[in-house]
Amino acid sequence: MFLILLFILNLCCGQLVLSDNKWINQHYTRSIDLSKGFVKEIDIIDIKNIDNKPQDVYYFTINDGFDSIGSISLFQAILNENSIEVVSEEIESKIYKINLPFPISPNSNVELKFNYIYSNTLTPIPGKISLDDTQQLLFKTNKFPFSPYETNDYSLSFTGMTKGQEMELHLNKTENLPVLEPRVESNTLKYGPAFDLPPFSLQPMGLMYDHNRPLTKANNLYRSIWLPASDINKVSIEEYYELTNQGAQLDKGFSRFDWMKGRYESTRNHWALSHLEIPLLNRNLEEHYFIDKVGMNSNSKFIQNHLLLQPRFPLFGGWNYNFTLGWNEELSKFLHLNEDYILKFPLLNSVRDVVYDNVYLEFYLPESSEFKNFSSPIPYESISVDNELSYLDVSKGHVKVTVHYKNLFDNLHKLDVYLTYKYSKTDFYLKIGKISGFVFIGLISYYLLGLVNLNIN
Amino acid sequence: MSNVNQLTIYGVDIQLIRTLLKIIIFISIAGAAISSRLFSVIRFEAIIHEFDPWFNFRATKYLVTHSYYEFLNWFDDRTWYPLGRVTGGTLYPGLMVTSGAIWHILKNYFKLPVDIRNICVLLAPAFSGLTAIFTYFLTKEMKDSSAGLLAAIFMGIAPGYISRSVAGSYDNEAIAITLLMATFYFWIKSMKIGSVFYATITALCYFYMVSAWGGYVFITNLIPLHVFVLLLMGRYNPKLYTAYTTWYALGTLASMQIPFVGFLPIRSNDHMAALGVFGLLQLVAFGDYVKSKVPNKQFKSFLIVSVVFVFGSGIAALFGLTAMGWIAPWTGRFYSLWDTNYAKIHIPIIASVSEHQPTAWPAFFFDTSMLIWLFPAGIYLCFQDLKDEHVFVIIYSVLCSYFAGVMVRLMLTLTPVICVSGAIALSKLFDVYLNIKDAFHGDNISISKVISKLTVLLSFGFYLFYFVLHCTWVTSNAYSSPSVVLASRNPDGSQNLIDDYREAYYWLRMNTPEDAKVMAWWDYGYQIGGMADRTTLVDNNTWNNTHIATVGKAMASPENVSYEILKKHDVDYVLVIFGGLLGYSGDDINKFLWMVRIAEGIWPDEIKERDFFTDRGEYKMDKDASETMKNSLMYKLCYWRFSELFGGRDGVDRVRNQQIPINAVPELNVVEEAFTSENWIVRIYKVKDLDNVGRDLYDATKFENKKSGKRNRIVKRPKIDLRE
Amino acid sequence: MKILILLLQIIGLSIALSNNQLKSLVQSKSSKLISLTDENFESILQGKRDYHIIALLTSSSPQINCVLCKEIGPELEIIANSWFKDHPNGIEDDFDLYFFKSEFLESRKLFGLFQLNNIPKIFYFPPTNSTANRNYVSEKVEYQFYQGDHKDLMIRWFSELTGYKFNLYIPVDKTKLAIHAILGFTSVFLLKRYKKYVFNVLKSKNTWGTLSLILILLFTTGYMFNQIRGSPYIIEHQDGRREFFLPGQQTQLGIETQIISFVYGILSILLIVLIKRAPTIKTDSINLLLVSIISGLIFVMFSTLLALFGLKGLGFPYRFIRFIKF
Repeated sequence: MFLILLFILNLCCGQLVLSDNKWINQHYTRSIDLSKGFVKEIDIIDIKNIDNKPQDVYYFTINDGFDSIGSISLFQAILNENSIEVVSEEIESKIYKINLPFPISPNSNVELKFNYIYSNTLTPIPGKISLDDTQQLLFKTNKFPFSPYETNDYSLSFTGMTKGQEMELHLNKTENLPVLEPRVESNTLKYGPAFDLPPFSLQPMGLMYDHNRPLTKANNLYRSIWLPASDINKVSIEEYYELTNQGAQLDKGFSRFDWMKGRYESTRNHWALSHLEIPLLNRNLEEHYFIDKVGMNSNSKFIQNHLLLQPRFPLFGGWNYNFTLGWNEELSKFLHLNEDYILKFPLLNSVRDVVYDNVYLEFYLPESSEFKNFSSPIPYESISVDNELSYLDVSKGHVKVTVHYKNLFDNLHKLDVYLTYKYSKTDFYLKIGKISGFVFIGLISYYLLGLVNLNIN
Repeated sequence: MSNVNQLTIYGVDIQLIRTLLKIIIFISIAGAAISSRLFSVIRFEAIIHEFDPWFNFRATKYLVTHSYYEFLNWFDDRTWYPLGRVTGGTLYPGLMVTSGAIWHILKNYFKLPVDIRNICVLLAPAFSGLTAIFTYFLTKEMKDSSAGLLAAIFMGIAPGYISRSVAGSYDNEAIAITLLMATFYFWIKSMKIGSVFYATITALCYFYMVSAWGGYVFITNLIPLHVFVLLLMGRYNPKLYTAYTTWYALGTLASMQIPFVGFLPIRSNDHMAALGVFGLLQLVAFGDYVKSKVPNKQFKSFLIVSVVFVFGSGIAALFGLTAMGWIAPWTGRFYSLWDTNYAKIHIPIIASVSEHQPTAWPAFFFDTSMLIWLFPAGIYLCFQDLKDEHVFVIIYSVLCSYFAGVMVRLMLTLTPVICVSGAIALSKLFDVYLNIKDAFHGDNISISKVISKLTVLLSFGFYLFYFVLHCTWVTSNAYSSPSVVLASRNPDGSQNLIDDYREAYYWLRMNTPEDAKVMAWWDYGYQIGGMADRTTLVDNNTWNNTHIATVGKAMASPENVSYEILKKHDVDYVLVIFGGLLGYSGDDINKFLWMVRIAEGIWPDEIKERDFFTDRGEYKMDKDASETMKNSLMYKLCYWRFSELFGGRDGVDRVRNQQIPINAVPELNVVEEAFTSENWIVRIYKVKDLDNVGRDLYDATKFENKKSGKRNRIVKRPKIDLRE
Repeated sequence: MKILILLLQIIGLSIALSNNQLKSLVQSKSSKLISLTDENFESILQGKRDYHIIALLTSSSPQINCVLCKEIGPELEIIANSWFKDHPNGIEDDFDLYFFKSEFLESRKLFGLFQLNNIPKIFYFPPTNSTANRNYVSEKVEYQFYQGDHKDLMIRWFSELTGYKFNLYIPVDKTKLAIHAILGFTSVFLLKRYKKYVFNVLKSKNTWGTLSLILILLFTTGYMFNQIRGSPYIIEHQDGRREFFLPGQQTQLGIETQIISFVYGILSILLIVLIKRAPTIKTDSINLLLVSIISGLIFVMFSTLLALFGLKGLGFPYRFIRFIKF
């Protein structure tokens, strides 16, 4: 199959502005990790100010150049010597403006490290395979740095795969680039070094490699956190996943016989998604439930501090499975009461090897509490506050704070978000008073009705 | 009464204590009734059971998400494709409206937004508590409150009623039995005191019953029959007149408000008895009036003339109206009750339902335990008293015994009267033997009296204890399986859930286009609609025999014939249930003969039941299976690649204990396997599209097979620069 | 008689009877279902045949107790008679059709030849030219019994095989008619004569009570099941063993209804005696004696009932007395 990609190199005006020759990339090292269902790239760039004035702005472009990257998740820029995160803003799609914490004087160097993840980038090749085939993925990337500055010394390495082939993509490329030959060093596929590359060097390459793991993706995740009104030390979490496998599809219908014969269910190395692993990491999920739209799924178990969820059927490429997972945890681990309540809560559950398109964090604060503030280590799309009626809500209902994130991936469960809200004892007693009032009125009216004499004499 | 009021214990009025005790007993009876129905929820989960409840559940969901009028006008295009079903007009809305109302009340007034599923699951147990209470009142009218309490306990835990009212069996019967008891209670009450008020309540209950269950016809006929027998016995009185006419007039008008019932009450023969008795009662009342006004001799001739005239004209009218088509003929299900061979010959669909089979004696004992032999004793005691209300119990019991004997399902309506009359007998016994007064002769106690009393009381106490054990055992073992989920035991004794149905249905729901049409036998129609949310061709509402026969034909025909049917009906997936791997006997191969029979009813030239048997007349799936059987789509779909599981040897069908040859199904041409569940219970096949090079699908398969047989798979790889 | 002698002569030749011989044989009999025995079967079946044969292999002997045989026999006879009523002289220009009935006790050899394990069987032998030895064994076509109206089903099968059309003439049973007439007449007469008594009986509570109770007892012990399913009364095995109870909740024998309704009835009566009769006995010791005996009986009967129910094998765990060790 011949890969034909029609694309237009979009060198918009922004980029033109960028190439002002104020910096030079002395060393540019790209390392790309392909071990999971998404791509993790770390670029370490030693930059040098070649202008005559001190500079504190550096522009970084994602190494793409031919629209091969689906979506970017989590962009991080770090000063390498003291691991300080640097403020960056995305001024244009895939172009970041890095505001260095201090100006760099002419002819001085500084080393920057860029971490970023891209999802929706890998495609299975061939797209349809049979059960006993090994899944191969195609990763398309720019072989050279797509930096607005000149690069002196460049190298590229791929990790996290066992077997791979390079494919040349016959697409537009920059002329006169040096030829980079690959070599294998300690399970790493390495290219380079290459020297003296012009700005925006582009040579599309494809890397086809064996990846016999599912490409798990949650199209939507609704993660609701129900905070109690009383002093009970429990927080209930309910997550609704819309799961799919982006990997290869079955070439024929699903044959249970072949599936049983190959014993694929018990192996971890198959491209069908038959288990979801949730490492628990010192967490204690109480009263967990695993249900979907037709009721309880009894295939969940705890093994060695992992929660294993088994969908009702193995998921091949393009197959979907929606389910809900709920549990309780100790509230005291997350909630602190200063003047207001401060909730520190993990952004995600620790499901292994999964990417998320949309994540909706939903905090259900007690009725008539007041939402104060929300802060997140990574940017979010939107936040909204409204009310939802739930059990024994006698006024407007629980305060619901919804935060919408896009393009997340599994490792972000290590990040915490912070939410501040105010809930006074008065509110609590008022609610109890209201409920008991209603009960009282009900009983009284029952009594009064009993006094009415309906007899006709 | 006045001296009773003076009785006090520790200064508390004894009446008050009695009331309190009664309330406590009621609460515990209701508690026992509800909790014994929760086995399945505890063992499995709060899930809707079986088949019909899935439709009711789906309809309820529709009701709570739409307005009531939308619900009544609901045209469901997701079943009976391509015909659709006028669902709103062909269902009894009582059940859905009840749970919908509960849902709204809980949500809006009690601020408890309970999931509608939980309400549906728990509706039947909740109503069973009410049933026990109404049974108490009914029995109290028959004898006294102690009999009432016994009847309530019996009703609460009798397996015959539990069988249809465990948590999750969200079916019309769940509330209908409650309403049956309520209607009967109010009827007895109104008939006894001649109260318009109670008769109105009877009519209301009757209306509710009509809205909830097709079995309301039972009431429609039983009450008139009661009145009729009373008239024959010469027990006419104005109270009876008041009660019956009020009930009939109001009840009939009210029942006609249900769209599905409509004008049936004045047109269908099922309802003619009520109308006839209504007319008769007018005549008798008139006669009674005339009698009081004219001398006896003239009255006699008046009586004879009028009886002859009325009788003649009545029959003539009935025949005339039936002939003119104004009155609908008896429904098939009704026929099958009287002429037990009718269904077998004329309506195979009705005969194919296991609920419509006759009842063997173990079922009676299984469902009511020792009440079954208390029952005749109770009826005997009723004959001893023979007040108007006892006549009712007697008629009810004789009629229902017959019905229950003819159809297993009607065990349900027999159970209440067994409980009532069992309670009458037992409480009479207790009346006699709990009376300690006659053990005292003056001051000295008669030891032998005490012993004889103790013997009886202890032995019957023991029987009652056994009764509870029996009921619990039956409920737990026989009536608490959701049938959607099956439970089995692992060798180590732990429970293993077999969840194939939901696995496959959920697969359909998640991985097929929303408008995909699924063809399966009608038993699974409601479940597919409810769980897989896909369009079906036929379902458990068996209103169109031809359509069902079409599906039967598609299943019973060879592939090429089936393919035409499948394509004509836009079928995308075919679903079959296969129990051969697991030994699950309720599978499609075991139901297959019914498909054949129903199809044969419409296409006797194309489908012949005889062809599906071996030469020796056996129903076999192994190498002796007849050619027609082997070529049928059903056989192919069930056994496709089945024998390969057995590694080179013949496969063993564990349901039929037959050897399935390795090449039982050499090839599938018009469908391809799309999904098979973990234990192979559900197998889903995708109907192939017409071949895009215009080949016959057989040729296409042959070509593909040849290709893969040679193993010359052409690997098309992209032009790559292989450098490593 | 002459014909029989003729038959015996022909056996020696071991070829089938000619059509005309058979025709005259049939015409001479009143029942057109001719019996096929060990004596004559070779002559009728062996060798060339220029006629269709339909043979019922059956047995009406009480030892074998075949219910279906008893049902099928008369029905086939009706068909045979109807056929010859339509075709008293056979069919002009096509093969004739003859009906035979073979009784097991008279034709053990024939049954052995066909290696029959179960009866009844209906075989069809088409006309043939083959003269091979025992050609008929391989030429037979077997009829499948199905639920439904047997006459209808058989006729359909016959006409499928032979291509002939069958009409049915169901004979009016004159004796039955007469009995009905006499019964009707006498009952009307008696009614007229003893009007008063009849009305008293009809008005009596006891009549209706007994009737209702009997009905209830029958219906709740599976009487209707027997009626609908036509379950056999009792199962007798070859070795003389008798089975009274079939295991399984969905099946039962005729006799089970009787046994169980008896048990229920006795239990009910005992209970009623306890309620109605016992309290009227004023002598304490007799009262005690009666009550103890009846309580004991109830216990025994109830235990029996449980044991019988246990026989139906549902894994039912409760017994009061273990009559049989399992």
